[in-house]
Amino acid sequence: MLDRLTLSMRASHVLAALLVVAALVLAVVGSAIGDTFYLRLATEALIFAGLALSVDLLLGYSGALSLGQALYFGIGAYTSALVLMKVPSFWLAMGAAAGMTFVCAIIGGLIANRVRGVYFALITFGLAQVVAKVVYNIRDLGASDGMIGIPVIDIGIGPFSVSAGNPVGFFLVVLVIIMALYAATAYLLDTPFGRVLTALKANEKRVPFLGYSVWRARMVCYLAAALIAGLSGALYPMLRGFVSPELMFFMTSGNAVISVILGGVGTLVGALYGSVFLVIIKSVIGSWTDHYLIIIGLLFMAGVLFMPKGLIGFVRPHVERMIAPRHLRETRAPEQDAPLKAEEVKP
Amino acid sequence: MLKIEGLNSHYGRSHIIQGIDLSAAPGEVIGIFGRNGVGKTTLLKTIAGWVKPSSGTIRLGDVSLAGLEPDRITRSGVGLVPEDRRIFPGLTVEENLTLGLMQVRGRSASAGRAVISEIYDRFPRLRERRHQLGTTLSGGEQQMLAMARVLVGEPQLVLVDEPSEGLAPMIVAEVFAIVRELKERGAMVLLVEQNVHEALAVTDRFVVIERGRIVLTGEAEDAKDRERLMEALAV
Repeated sequence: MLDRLTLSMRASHVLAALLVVAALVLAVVGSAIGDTFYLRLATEALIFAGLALSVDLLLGYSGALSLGQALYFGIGAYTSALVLMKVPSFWLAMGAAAGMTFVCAIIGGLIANRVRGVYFALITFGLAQVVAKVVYNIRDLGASDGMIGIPVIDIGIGPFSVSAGNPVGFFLVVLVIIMALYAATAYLLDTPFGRVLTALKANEKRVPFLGYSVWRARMVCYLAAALIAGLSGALYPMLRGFVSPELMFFMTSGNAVISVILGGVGTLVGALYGSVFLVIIKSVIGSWTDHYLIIIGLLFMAGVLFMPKGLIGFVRPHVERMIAPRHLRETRAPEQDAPLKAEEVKP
Repeated sequence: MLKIEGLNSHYGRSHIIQGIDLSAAPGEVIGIFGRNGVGKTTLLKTIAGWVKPSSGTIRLGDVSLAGLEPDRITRSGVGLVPEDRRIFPGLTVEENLTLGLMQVRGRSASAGRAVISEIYDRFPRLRERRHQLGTTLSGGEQQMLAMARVLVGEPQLVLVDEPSEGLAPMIVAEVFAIVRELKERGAMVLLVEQNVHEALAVTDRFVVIERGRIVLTGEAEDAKDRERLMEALAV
């Protein structure tokens, strides 16, 4: 029998499918009219959606707010760029980015997971700032200018080959990868480990008394989130042809957090929509005024005040009602930590 | 066999548990009584690893529990049913039970399903509500779930803290029936309970704690011991 948690996840999948349909329509229209700008913009939105997805895995499912997730996005981007400069292989770049991100995340995780709550947020922020400043000062990594001149590669997928310079082709490759990361995350959350994460978020002090190591669960979640960010970052130099230390700066991490909050924390698909929404808003408002950050800030505040569950938090219940079997349609989703019922009478 | 010797634990500078010695044999239920704030719950928390002991030993069979992390202690065969039940609000009844399976290492998925099926036979109400979120249950049902979640771990030692707190009498009877079942299965139970009369019906022995020390021990069946217990508690 379907339960509410599974129903919510299915509703997220329906919304993810809608996003894919919209992306495919954009690809077809973009291809027909020979558009480059919007396809590149949409590709960038999807790449940053991967970063936002990693933030949502941490924040929405284990309750850990990372203010430095761009660190792993940047590590993935730089590793990918370094590989592509030597060997123009998509798969090698992705593999190396995953490996480097994983190793760095073990070190970062060992440091960050020693603390909780606001301290975790500050440590992750600090780690990203330190590494960004180090990269900023290393001449071999292009220092403050970053690395430019990353070659346009051909991506071999079985018998097919897609050029990263082809806006439609690369957009579709990125779409497949980001949706695969989404599917892998959703699968992870549907395993018993995912339920441990849910329990962890509800109250991590309770979890050890069921035989689970809180530290191990948090570490696995941290590593998985870092990998997602790193793999997303690895796509960035293929799109833009350069990488810069700004990719690791707080602005990048902060944008990912804003995307998740606008899209809906703990919904997974909200991170994707939030990121797309933020990139579109930045682009549209940025074409009117240079002070677009003020408007984004105001939008963010309005979103938090009037739509605290985010865009998907608002839309998803309607989708749930549409796809729910009768036994769930008739009962309202209970609020978390609802008060106990009248049966409990103090003696 | 549980053997606690010279156990001490602190909350900051406050010396809460002061040199407690206690032992229990398989199938034995020990009632832990005393006024509020004397250290009964802290004793359970110290055994479960929530509070680190400052000195003393806790042995469960061949395993020394003192100083281990709570998850290791749980996997060593200790189940805790805390006073506030600790149902995970975002998880369904079945998911709450499934989490409890982790207490036994190396159990196959089919064996785990069989254990949960047994639990549903024992608690039909939980089967009916298996797909509901834990927070939608009544307080009594939540207590059933908390105890059932410990049962799926098949612990050797069960620590039960104030299980009747805030529950209607019918539910309280059911809770004590589960304690009896645990005893029949050969588990050791340390039962902290304010409802002394009800608790004595299921306990073999009792201890009374005052200011972190055991000041009285006795047999639940012994009339004189019971009389001394009532005097000590001024019931």
